[in-house]
Amino acid sequence: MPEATQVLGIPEVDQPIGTALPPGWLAILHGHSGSGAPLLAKQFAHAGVGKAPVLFYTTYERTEDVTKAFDDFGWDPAEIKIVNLADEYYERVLVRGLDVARARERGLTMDRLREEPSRDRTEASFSLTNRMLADLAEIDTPFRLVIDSIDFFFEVLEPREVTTVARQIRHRCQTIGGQALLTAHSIGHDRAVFGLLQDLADVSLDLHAEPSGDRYQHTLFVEKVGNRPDLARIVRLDVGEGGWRTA
Amino acid sequence: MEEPTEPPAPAVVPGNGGLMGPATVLERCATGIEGVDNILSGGIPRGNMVLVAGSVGTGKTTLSLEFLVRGAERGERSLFISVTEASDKLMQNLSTFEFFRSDLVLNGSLVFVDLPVVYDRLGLEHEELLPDEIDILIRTIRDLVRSLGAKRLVLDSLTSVGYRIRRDERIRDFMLRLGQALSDEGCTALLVSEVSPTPGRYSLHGVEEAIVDGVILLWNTRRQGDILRVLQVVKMRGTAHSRAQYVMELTPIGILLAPHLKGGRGEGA
Repeated sequence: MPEATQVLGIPEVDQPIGTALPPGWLAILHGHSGSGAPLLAKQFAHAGVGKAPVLFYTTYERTEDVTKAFDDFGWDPAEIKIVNLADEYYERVLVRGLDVARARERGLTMDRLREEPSRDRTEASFSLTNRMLADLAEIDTPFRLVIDSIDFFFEVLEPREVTTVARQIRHRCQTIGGQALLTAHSIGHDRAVFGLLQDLADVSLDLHAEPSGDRYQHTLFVEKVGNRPDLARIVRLDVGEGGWRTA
Repeated sequence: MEEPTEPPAPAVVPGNGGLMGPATVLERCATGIEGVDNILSGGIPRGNMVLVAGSVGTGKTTLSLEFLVRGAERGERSLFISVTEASDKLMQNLSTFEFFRSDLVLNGSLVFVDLPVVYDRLGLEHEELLPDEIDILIRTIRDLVRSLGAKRLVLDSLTSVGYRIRRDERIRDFMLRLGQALSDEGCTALLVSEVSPTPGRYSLHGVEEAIVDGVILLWNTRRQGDILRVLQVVKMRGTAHSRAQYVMELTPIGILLAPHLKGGRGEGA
């Protein structure tokens, strides 16, 4: 039996999926709020440690919360490059929005005009896409990448731009053997656009949490694995000390 | 700060639409440029908005800056709003003139503002300013004038602002409201208009000269191998003025005017 790639860090899931995938692939993980998709994304990142550089782009959590979540499960965050895109976006775009609102509403005084600008006016405007893809372009060895979550890109970019980003990530994965996971938490995406993302992805996963007695029961739907419909399956999961595992 | 040497004569405007009747005496804003004040019988009526129109190299910016420096020397706080040239560079160029006094900048009598910084702070990023953004721009200029207590203002250039306002009806509205706001603050303004030499037209849109209270036209003319700068006051509401042409010299001590002897071949106007 060929050695399976560690996909999610859950051996029972990785064994069938990992053997069927090429060296470079893109996965998409859909999970509604409370499903546990962010934890599974972190587990995916940790599963790549030691084999390739790992980048974890968070878009809604504080960096320290991400770090703590890694620590809580015994996954060393020092081995993972954590990039907080939301913070960067806030500092370079939204803070400026606050300054503009204040200037428009309260008026500009000479003192305010003389204040240091919130940005260098010669600096190009912040591009979320360029910010992330520039990192990716600098990697020339196999890598593992997580974007948690792609919802943020949908908030900031046009849907077409989001699919372009996904295509570029996938191409990079295929070219140099990268493994990327995009999470999507929101249920508000345009179905056609989200369907296109699922089509682009080599692996499509859906994590569900449903009440069962006084607890929630988690189910992972492995909806797509490359061109292998025979590998699609449904797996019950729960969370242990080492993260997600089969129930 | 120096005291004015002689108070300018008040402008007298007949009431009743020019028919005999009670006259309104307008306060003058002496430009401090002797030749110009002579043409204007003492200066620009206070609160007037005047177009300084001319093609490149005709001395519009220098004339406007001297107007501000002379005002600051007389205790009138003066504001220069630069659109196309960074004010640091402008001051560097200005320092070659003896009439420029850097202490006026240091003590806040002469204030420079770069409009691109204002655009940036106000988030005015659209290539074409929207009506509500034009409102914000007018309000901001008024607020700056009010908060500084500025009595003189130069906008260099109106043409550059006009490129972002674009539509004739909007530039007309912008100028009417800006003129009213500045007049309410008792602020006399020169708006620089970069015009190519087209006879009878003094601005980008062609509507500006109808709205302003005055037009000072500058152009270059050739005479005996030299290029001379020529100044003519085409229009000035609220005062009698000469419409003669004057040769304008930019000297280290400031602008000097001399009667323009006819016979030269004009390039513009």
